[in-house]
Amino acid sequence: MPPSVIDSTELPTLSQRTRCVLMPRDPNVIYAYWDYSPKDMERLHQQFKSKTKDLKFVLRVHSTVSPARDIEVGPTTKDAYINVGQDNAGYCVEVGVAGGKNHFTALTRSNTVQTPAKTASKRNDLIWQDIKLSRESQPYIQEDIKEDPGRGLMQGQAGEFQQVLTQGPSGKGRRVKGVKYPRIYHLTAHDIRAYYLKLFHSKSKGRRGVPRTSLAGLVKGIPAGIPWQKVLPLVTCIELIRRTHPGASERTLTEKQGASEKFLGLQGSEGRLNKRKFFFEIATELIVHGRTEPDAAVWLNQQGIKLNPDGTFSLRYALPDGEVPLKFVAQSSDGVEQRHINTRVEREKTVYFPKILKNIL
Amino acid sequence: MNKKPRGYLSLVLHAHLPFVRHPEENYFLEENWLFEAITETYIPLLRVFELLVRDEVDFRLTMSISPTLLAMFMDPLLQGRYVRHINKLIELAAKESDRTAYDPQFRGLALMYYNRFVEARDIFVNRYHKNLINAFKKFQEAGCLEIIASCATHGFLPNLNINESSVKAQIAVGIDQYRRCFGVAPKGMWLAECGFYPGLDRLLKEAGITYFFCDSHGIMNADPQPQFGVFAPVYCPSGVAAFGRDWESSKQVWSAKEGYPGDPDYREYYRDIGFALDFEYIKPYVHPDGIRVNTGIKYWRITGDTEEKAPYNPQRAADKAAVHAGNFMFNRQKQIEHYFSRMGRKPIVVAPYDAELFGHWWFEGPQWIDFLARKIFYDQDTIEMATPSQYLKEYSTNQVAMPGFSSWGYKGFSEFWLEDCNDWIYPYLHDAGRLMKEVASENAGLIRGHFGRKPLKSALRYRALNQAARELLLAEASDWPFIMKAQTVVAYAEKRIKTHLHRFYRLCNDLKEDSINESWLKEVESRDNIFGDMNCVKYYLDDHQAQTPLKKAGPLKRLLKTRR
Repeated sequence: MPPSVIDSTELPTLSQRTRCVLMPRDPNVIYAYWDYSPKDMERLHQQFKSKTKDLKFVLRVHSTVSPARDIEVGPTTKDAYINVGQDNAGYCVEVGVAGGKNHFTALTRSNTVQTPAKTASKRNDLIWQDIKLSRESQPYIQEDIKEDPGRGLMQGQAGEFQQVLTQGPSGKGRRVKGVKYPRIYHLTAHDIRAYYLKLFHSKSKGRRGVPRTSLAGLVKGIPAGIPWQKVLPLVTCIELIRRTHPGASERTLTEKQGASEKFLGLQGSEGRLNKRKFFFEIATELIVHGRTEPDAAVWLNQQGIKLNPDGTFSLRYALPDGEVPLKFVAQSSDGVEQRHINTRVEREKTVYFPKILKNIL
Repeated sequence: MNKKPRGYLSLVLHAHLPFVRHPEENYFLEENWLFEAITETYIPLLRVFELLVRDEVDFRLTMSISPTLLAMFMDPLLQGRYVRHINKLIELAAKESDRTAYDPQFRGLALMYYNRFVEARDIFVNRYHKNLINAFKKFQEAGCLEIIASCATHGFLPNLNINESSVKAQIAVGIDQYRRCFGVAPKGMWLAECGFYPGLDRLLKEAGITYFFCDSHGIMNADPQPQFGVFAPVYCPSGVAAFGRDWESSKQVWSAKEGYPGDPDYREYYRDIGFALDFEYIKPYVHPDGIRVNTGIKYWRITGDTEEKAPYNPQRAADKAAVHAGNFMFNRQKQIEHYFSRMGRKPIVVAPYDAELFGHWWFEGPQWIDFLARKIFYDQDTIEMATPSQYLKEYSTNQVAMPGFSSWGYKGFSEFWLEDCNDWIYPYLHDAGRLMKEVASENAGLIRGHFGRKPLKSALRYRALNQAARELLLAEASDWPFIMKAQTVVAYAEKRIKTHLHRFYRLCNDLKEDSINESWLKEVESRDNIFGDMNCVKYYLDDHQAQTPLKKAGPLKRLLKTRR
């Protein structure tokens, strides 16, 4: 058999389906690739009554930490590295066409991804588990308590917890004042799911008015496996921010479900501060300007730039955290010469935990 | 004998090479990767294990041998070609000892290589009957080596996660291969490139895995924050244990600047006689097309940051390896004493390395392991060598935390395998993964052994389905995007991935159109014969489809045997 029949190095042609796939690359960057089916393209032409090159294709990036933002892409562009600038956050992208004022026609929605954390978790709860070949205990938390374990923290608050061990050193249940006793609370699979999915519970109400958490979690793949497609239509971006803002979701979980958050020390001052009206935000912008021959063509990251009559140009962008690559290309009007300038800017922001100057309680 | 150690050192060696086997060519350059690794790494490591066992030194090592490497160890064609390769080397080394007869600087080195090659052939052919799996298995059964499983073709799982079935198949086929080679179920798993993402733990748990390894930041950025850092495992919420790489011990060996392998007394890798000697002289021992290649015979030491290299002195290098082993042990002792006092329990320092670093790149590496094991056994009682399983047996209670998305590659995430030069492969790999699942689903009955009324035709379809799964697995290897990024043999990596994708899509198309060309299929089967007698495609079925009870598959097996 001739080798060429076995060793074809031609890439097969992929069937043209409308789709968009996201892959997290690192804490700041996600990679997206997409495609449109001929049928969908036809539909767009009819809807917008324009040719492909005149359509304004847009990636709408949804995030759990910021409002959706649009990135314009060329009609032939089929992939992009999106600088999201925020680690440990969930993202989902819609590919569509922008037309008119605030009008956006989505063609498809991507899978959801979670960018990895680039720093240590802020949660330092100690959850333990004993796993032997023959037996696997439930995860548990342990606290050292003084005296009577029957009163206090857990009563009426943590219905999900099962108190299993309250014995003191004597082993007879008799307690001595001032001596510390370990108390162990076993956590159910539901507790663990709630613990990890605190950022992702849905606004919709389940039975008896209790907020239903998105339970795709631990047993079905966390946190990237959350069926966000189902969650997104139910919540606005502002809701997403509110829920991911420190304190918000924890309170809901604690009060409505009696889950682990409060016991594990996650509310505290964060929750109280959140109720206050004081706020502080900053934003940065990037201004780029340059000049060339008035009749030259200039592109930034493959997007055409409109020049002023004297050949100058000026661009202004919101500058998010992370790295922003800027690749400029200028081409002479006779098409003979092309010049490239690549630059990049990087912004880093550290938000410190609020300093409490006065006790407000 | 150590009585009361204060902590453990877990040395982990990850042995992997991509599946490179080209029966269609008489000599294939990239097959030398395996041959060089056998001579320079695997056999020297086995030699170290043998000597340690002979001298009754109680040592513990963890080793993963990738399924592709296992397949190549078992392959008669590659076994035969290795014998041909080592015979040529012995011939060259003999010629070299003649050539250097009047050169006292190099004569001893030529003889050293001659003796090493002769010994390698003896170990390979006579002691282990051309199959090195027998050798590693022997040490596992002796209790000093714990061999763990690895992903089927070293697929970088975070980038394949678009199709969960592809990830599951990488895990399941890897475990299946392990069972076939070692006769037991693996306890641990080495994730290709240490690539982990939250949620992968559940799939490992479902596959029966007890522990795996993460890079340091995977554990340090776990949620909640692990109390003991990387010095104790954490249990993922699914119950699988994750051990974190200790950055300090890794750096001492890996680092280009501070690492031991860069010492001036060690052998220089990049001065090989294959490139240095007169072409007419070396011609019979390089590529038949006249391309110069590494022969493995190198006479110089690193010397320093200079082109003027000094001759290699094996005794001086061995002394330095002993010094470095002592230094490594001293640092681990200090580290373990410190963490023992703070943790209130014995810490474990996990030091994973690519196995091929030892011997192939760092010529004295196996000697270093030998010295380290002996020093730990005889010279101190602070630390003891242990495997992760032993540690989990002693400390079965651990903190629950979910490690973060991480890898041990450049910058610690996916960038090395997802970048401008290699990102074009993912639309294909993901589409192929989706299609594989779809085709498997359509043929679920057949995959489970229901051959219906046309058993001959069904047998052919069954073979095509399995070959499609093999082609997809081979295309998913992390080695191809790695090579594209590292800019080494890019043309070969691109050719490989395109060839496997081409074969995969053709098989799927033929299956859909029911137009399988048997002679073509037979040829492809003979070339990409990895996991040859395994039912790889069943892992792409949905759980409920796969779990449906199998009917007796007697006729199927008989048919396949007669058809092949």
